[in-house]
Amino acid sequence: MASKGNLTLKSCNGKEFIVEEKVAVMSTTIKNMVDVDDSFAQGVIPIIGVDGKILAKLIEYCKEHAEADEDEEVKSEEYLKKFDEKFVDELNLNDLYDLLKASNYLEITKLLNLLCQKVASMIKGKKPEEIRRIFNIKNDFTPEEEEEINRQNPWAF
Amino acid sequence: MQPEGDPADKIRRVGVSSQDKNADDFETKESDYGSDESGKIRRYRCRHQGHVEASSQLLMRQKTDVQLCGDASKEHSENRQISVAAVYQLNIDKGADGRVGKPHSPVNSLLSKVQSDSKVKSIAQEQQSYPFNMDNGVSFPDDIMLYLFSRLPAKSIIRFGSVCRSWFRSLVYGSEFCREHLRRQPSRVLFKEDDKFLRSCEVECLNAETPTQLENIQSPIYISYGTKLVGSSHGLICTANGDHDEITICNPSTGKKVLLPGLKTGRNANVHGFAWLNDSYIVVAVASTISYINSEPKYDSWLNIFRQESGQWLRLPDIDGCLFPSAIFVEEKLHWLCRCYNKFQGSCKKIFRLHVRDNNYGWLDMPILGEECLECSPQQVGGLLGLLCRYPSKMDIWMMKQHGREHSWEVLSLISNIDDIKSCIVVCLMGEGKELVLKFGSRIAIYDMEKGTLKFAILEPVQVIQDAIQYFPGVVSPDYNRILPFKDNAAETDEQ
Repeated sequence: MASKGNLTLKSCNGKEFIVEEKVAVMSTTIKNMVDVDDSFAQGVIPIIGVDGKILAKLIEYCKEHAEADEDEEVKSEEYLKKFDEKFVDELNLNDLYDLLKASNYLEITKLLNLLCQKVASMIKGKKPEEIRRIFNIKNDFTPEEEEEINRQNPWAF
Repeated sequence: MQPEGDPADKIRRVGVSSQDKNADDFETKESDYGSDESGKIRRYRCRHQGHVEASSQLLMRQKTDVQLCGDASKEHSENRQISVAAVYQLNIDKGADGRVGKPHSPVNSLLSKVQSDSKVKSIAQEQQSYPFNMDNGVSFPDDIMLYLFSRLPAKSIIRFGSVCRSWFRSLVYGSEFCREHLRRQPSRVLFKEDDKFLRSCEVECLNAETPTQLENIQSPIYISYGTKLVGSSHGLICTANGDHDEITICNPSTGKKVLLPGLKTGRNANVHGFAWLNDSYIVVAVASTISYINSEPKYDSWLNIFRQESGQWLRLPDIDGCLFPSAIFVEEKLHWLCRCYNKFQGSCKKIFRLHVRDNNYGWLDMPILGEECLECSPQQVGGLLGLLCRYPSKMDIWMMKQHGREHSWEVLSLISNIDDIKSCIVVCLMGEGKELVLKFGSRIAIYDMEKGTLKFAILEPVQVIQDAIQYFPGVVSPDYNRILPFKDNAAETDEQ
């Protein structure tokens, strides 16, 4: 049971994390839940669809940023920037997708921005076939259609 | 009654609220969607956390809506009113009237039917087949896709259109995506030089101290000699070539270009205005004539308007006045400098304005400019109507602070004590609205409104500018007859 000022978050595979409230409410979704219903503040908040590994990552990120918001001297903007860079660089593709989805529905806007920027810069210069491979998408154009579309914008390829 | 599959086809994202009040709340929130980063769905989700009992189901979004549909159908049987809180696709198709709250509206009754017919599953499936989501492979929620792709440059977007059909529909033909993408683009200035090439730079990169390197437009947009840039809006540029009677709309970022149908007039018409309304463009062409009756001049202007939606020219009633190019688009109206004549006042100048929504028109009085004024022209300055007036040794800019109110004209003295004042247009504002970017003769000047200083920008590689226009490098299509280059299964299902 979490002590006062702390919240317990439970991942979909049953892992529990006790985090400070200020860290947890970086997520607007959790903030709304806690604001609306006091029982969440005492009980366990289930984070469905997010496993323990991803939830740990989310908490790691939120902790740094919540602390930085509180004390700008210890964790400067520059420190945060470096932390953010390292944070996204260490992620593999699968984690990146999972984190994107998780930060989207938990509404951690800062993290969502950071991750979108990362994915955007990753795919920016890629060719369509590379994109298909990364996202595992089947090409459903007929060869004629594809040729026609590519013919319209040869400069973009 | 329409077939059962229909609502689900049209309404890609359906959430159900059990209280009408909540739906109302949502609707008001929804109207400011354009300025919100996080999108409708998330907001919708928050709202529901407030009043549906927050349970673990809520957290899983993909499941949330389905669960709510299920709850609502139970509630429906208890005779509680159901209203649709979020109708994603319908908003786009039918404008602001996205909410379907009235008990007797056809869509609502269909929806009730869908819910009570335990069609919950079909709605869930429909959600997943929203164009952005991939039928195979990794699937992101729609708002993430919107969020992600709107950060990419136009060139990547065009290329990614050939990944698969659903991406093509969303990225190349999706008006919602185009809007969101455009919103994220930095303001740029497009330059036409003596040659046919177009170059551009970000507005905020312009400055007087160091040279600004202009980038070539990557797409193969060819602007023939003698072609003028008439106007720009939402990433599209309207160009006109008087010699060839060619009017084109192009998107310099995507390289798409369309030639408008010819004006069969027999008159020497010029394209004067480029406007934007309801996600589509409007072009206005004008021919003005003067005739003399008993040595009194009679001014006459003939207007034709082209709407992207209709794809054809429409002639408007003639105007008693001579309209000077170019028209300035402010607050849904195009504004011209107009010369009029009547027996009592003689010849006088006014501002003629045409409301592009309903083709209504009217005149505005100009401020008193004095006899010495050599030239004046309407301008758009940060969303306000301005009037740039050239005198032998000074330049003034008048601004109409309250739109349509003639008493709200205010003057700002731009330049004084310069002998050689060239003709000038306002390109845009920069530096948080404190500086004016002017095309001053064939050069670009930056006027600091706080300090009152005018400096010339140094542009590389070319200095002599023919036209300069503000634009946003978006992916909006200039087409007026849009046909998908492949058989569109989704559209077919809609028609059935």
